[in-house]
Amino acid sequence: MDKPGTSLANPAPRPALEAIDLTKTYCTSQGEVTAVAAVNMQAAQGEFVCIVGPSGCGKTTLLHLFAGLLEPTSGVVRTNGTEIRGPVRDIGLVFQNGNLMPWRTVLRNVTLPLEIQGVPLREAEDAARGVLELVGLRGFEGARPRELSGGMQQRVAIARALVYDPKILLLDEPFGALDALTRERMNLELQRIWQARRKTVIMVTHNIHEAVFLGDRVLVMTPRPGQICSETRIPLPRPRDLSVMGTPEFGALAQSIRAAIYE
Amino acid sequence: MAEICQPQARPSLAARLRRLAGRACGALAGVLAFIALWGGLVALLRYPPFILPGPGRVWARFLVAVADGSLWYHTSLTLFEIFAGLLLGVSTATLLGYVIAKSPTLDRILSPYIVAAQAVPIVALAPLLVIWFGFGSLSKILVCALTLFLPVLINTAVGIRSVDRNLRELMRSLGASRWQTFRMLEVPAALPVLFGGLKIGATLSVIGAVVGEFVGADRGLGFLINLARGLFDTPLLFVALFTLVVIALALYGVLSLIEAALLRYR
Repeated sequence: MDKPGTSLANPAPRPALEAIDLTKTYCTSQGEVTAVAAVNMQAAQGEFVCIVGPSGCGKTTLLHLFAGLLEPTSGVVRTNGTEIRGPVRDIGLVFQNGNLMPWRTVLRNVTLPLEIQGVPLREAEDAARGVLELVGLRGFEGARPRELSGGMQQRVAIARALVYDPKILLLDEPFGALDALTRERMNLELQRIWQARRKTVIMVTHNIHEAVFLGDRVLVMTPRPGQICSETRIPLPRPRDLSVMGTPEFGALAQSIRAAIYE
Repeated sequence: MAEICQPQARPSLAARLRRLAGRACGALAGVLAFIALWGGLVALLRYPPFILPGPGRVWARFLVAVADGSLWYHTSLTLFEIFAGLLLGVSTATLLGYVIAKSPTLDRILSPYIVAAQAVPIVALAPLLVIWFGFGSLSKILVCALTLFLPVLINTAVGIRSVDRNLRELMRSLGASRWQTFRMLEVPAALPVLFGGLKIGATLSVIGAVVGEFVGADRGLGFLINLARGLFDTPLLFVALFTLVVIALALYGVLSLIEAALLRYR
């Protein structure tokens, strides 16, 4: 297992995303709370990075800092070398619970980012149909979110993030609310979509198996204060199928990550 | 994929019409039962018509009032005042409600005055408005607008404030402008609550217009009620009352239809 920060030693071409001494402190009624404390990490172009950690360890805060939704107390986030000071087009965020607009159809939920960018509706709808097909929701364009299962809603959310083709995709426990079987199927789907679209993905999860299955690298985050305490490379070959979960290598990787969490 | 289910099919037009017809029949039966009860009571207790006229007498008076044009003469003015009052009251209340929802500072500054204005009984305020703005329609329109102001304002503020925070974050992450957030998120998200306020406002607008006319007017359904009372023409008073009820029901019904059409997703 590498110690965090060692990957900074071999300078790659500009990382798709990097955080340098990133700290976020909230003022609450209980005083100051440090949600993210001096986090250093980076994600290479096209890399799939998973961040695991227990609830309340600052994972969501970290993602929101990456997305430019929060301003860091200190430190910087850079994408391709430019500092992030607010929401940017190159970064797409998929929220925890789907976060769809119940009054819009599936198709129009997916067109939303393009509508905001001022793309003509016709064009936006064509693009949306394309990504809906990619996430396996062809034929559901006219449905309302409440008519869909949780897994399907999450697919719509992913389609919405893909439609404007951001270079980096941030996923905040996208499958946290799903049952174990649906989650596994969604993991396979996500791997397929990631391989088809070659995006840089940073995914936050509290599921170790999911992280090992999907990630090129798994970072462990510990709470109070939120810090990245270990980094594990996942050398399993791609594309991975579910049977990989039964292999000894998989078990050993999952075990070492679990150990890092409970350290 | 096992999780795939067919999107819910919409009920066919025929089925919807049948359901609508069923509901209309139910409403009609209720009205008939009410008239029968009323007629039976009058026949049984033999009240003089100036205290409680039977349905037959009221109907006859209605036909006379329609024939001589007096009913429409008064109703048209009251309708005008209601619509103008609704327009004025709803537009200002919605605007101010939105501002208050967005700005805690303005909320603190304005709220005491708004609540104070609403705490003064409108019947006490109406004479003042008539003194200031005259016996014409303007004073009635103002009374009407004031009556419906607070519920519409509060519903707007509550509706805008209760917009899902995660959806706000989403709009922000997508780089939406204020106007886009307003148009694509706040309006559709607050619409259900907005309609609640609008429906209350519509019924209150009828009360507002009549209160205004009660205080000082020479035309309108409120004036007609006053006139009928003075002449002991109780059947005419009932005609005016029922007309008001029909106006209120029609307003409410139209709003409900628009609401159902706009909020079909629910």
